Amino acid sequence: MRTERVDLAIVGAGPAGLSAALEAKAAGAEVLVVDENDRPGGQIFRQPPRAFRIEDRAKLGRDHKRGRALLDAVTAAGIGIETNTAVWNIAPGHLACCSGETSWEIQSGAIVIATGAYDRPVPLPGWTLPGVFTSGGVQTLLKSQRVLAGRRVLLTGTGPLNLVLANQLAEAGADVVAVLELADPGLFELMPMLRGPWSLLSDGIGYVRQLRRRKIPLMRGWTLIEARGTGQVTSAVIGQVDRDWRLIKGTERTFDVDTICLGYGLVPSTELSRLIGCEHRYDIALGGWVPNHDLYRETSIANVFVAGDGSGVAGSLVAMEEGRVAGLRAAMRLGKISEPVFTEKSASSLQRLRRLGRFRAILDGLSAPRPGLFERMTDDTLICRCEEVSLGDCRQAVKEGAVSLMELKPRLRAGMGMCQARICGPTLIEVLGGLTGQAPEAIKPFSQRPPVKPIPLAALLDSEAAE
Amino acid sequence: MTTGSTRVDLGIKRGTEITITVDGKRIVAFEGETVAAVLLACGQRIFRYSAKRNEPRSLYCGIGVCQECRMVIDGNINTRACMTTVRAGMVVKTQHGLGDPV
Amino acid sequence: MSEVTGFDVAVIGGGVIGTSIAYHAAKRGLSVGLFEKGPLASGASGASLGLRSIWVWSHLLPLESGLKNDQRFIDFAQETGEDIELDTSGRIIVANSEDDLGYMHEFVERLQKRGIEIRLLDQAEIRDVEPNLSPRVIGAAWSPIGGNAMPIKLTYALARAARRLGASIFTHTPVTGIDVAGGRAVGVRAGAKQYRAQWVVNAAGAWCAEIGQFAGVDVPVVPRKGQVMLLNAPPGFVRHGIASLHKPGPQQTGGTNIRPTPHGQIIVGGTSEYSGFDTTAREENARDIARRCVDLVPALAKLSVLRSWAGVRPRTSDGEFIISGAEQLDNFLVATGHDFVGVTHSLVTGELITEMMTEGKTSVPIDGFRLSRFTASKSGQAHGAA
Repeated sequence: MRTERVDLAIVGAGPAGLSAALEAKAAGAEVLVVDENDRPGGQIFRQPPRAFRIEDRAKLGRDHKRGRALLDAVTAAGIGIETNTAVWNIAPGHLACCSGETSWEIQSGAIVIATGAYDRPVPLPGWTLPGVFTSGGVQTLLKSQRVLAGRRVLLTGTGPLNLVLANQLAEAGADVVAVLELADPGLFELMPMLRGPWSLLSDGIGYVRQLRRRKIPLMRGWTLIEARGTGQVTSAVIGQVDRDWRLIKGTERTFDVDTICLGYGLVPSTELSRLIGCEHRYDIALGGWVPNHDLYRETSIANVFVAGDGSGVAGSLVAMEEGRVAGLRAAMRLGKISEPVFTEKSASSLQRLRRLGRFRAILDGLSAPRPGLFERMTDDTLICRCEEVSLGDCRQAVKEGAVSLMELKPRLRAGMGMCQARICGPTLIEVLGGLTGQAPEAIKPFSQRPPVKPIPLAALLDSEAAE
Repeated sequence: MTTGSTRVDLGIKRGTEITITVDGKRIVAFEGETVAAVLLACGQRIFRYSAKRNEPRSLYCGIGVCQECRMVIDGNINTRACMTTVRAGMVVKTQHGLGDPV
Repeated sequence: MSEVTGFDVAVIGGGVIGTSIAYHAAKRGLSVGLFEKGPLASGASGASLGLRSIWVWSHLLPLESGLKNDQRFIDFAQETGEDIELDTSGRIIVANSEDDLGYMHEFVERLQKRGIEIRLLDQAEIRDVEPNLSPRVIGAAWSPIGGNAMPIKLTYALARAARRLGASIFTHTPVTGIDVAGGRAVGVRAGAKQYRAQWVVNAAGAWCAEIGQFAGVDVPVVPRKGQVMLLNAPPGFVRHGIASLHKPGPQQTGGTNIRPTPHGQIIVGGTSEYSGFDTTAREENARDIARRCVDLVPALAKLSVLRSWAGVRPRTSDGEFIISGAEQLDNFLVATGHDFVGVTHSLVTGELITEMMTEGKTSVPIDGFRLSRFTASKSGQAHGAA
């Protein structure tokens, strides 16, 4: 079986992972980055497919431009990136990889886990209807594949993504019916600052102005109650909410739509950091369970580092700074640079992180889920989409004494499906907490076992004869 | 925009035009596109039917995490349409439940 | 909630064995308290493939007709209305070497002589019954007896049924001591409380030795780790539980099992190692299982692996159960050592332990399962790899 021996292995070729790679390589470490996608860039810097020819970069947007700068630097530095590769098992100094049907391994002195995040699943009646997508999914489709997910679109949720996406959809010719925003009306324009310093405040106001210019209603304090339709979504029932995101009865209205974008913030992908055994804590403002780490991104396991949204959702600019710090620190721990050199090289990133951290502290409460978010469901609403387990099923299990996720799982099959509990997990933690009177942090996530992503059995059949 | 489809060729030119088969029908696609993008572009939203409730499902997260977009592709069940790039002659089928009985 | 201070029976261990004992005892009108240190089915029962073997018991006892045992499961499911994903489609055993085939013939003959319904299949029948079996499978036998059950659901079903009959089930409640006085166990300490008991039953699986120590009773079981994998499959890919049969020998630590679930998944396994209570799912084991199950059903290679996990089975030095009293204490019973046939023998174990408590003897002789057999031959235990 193929074994790659490097100083530093980095999981995830998004802004955090690539930034870590650049710094570590410059510091003299041998680096290898792996990513499940076909091309590096992660989500925010997702590139169009190789087979597409780029004719006008300006039309691809600001994120594409920023991403190009990073990707060009990575190419210039000669950093090795293995794409179409899923990491399915992990231990200190070891990554089990799978590319297609071939499994191979990386042995490394240090690891940076930069696995990013995914859209927070928000169960509500009708959320499984075709035509109800995550905002991230619709944006990826538009950004990279240049396809509109639908023609008559409603965006709902909270956070800067919906503002950006609504404008992108409108520019691409979609009829954007409205953007529903949960967060406190007074401050939400500041949210784009999550992506960077004060200079981007103008961005946030800019997005809002653009929506106004396009006559797209920005309905603050409104949210989606139900998606309706047969075979696919054809209408949306919406209503107003109070400050806890609870519905105000009697405010319901219905829009005709064929597409709904659910954009309620992100949940960090912590499967690898949990499988390797890092300590985690529950911080809903950061998206849920996140790995603990010191100032220099090192986790409770020596030489294992975390950076980017996978360690707590904070946007791409923060991700890049965290990646730089992690890459430098790993290089220092590997003996490639001395501590004084580390201190010097990481100073500006650490300073920026402190500054950004202050802004984040102000904005933390804004998009963090409020109790009303988990009250959208009826007993019939599915929480586990893979195995079709409803809220009502969970209530019954709790009545029979279940107090932990591991007790729900085998009885209901919640968490036993193809997504390996990524979609139901975050909701079950909150719902189980609510039903049993436990704080979400008291509810341990599903235990993590390999493979972290489904892999073909054929990949485990590599002949050992060549040893 | 390609007529009738929701493709948006802003700033890019797609790859070579190819044909794939979806539930027995020949469909136009372009090299580089994912199966999910091709289907959504031509208005086919239903990718599979769920096993228990037999409900129609489509793309959801779009980045390979949720597995909602799983279809039978070139004979392989549970293949994510959003993570599969088309190739000429690819055979795509709506997945019914756990996959057609063997 | 009223303060409960005493039970007729205190059962320690919340796996299939412990909950079965609780159910059967409660059914006979005994008051039961079951204590489990984690969630129910958190030991071997939570990791098991869920097989129900064709044959019941072991070489130490006359083989019971597997039909009778099947009926126990059918009756339990019917009486309680519980869904334990009971599969009564029988089992296929396969051989893919000449040695193993020879042993299979002998094995089938032996079972047939005992009146157990099992027969060899010819090549045409093999392909008919399980089309996906490898051509390298040169022999197979089929029995309508046995099948599968979902071990965790079975555990919960037993616990629920026990509760309905008045039992108290305490999960996340480790036992921290067993009180002993005048040659009797007088109670258990658990969750910072003390509970008096007329009988104390040690059904803690791989942890029986530790629990036994609280009472000063030596229970020589060791954890034997086994790993399995979960694959995604269309319905009917594999129609029955399939087990490979191997001629017993020093190298033999168990065959390969492939078992379909009703949910479009196939569980494959198993492995054997002695590494304490570690239940890390190891890549080497995953590869080993993959190789062996693809040997039997090559088409499995097209499927994807969703999860791999491991558990620890309770194993004794001679591989036989312990269903017994203890010499030191009048009222301390031990029910463990089920190794890889815990699910199969879960219901009958509950019946037998209950008989020991209510009648002072069992309806079938189980001398071969006495705990005292270990003190008799205490020198040079060589338990470990078979």
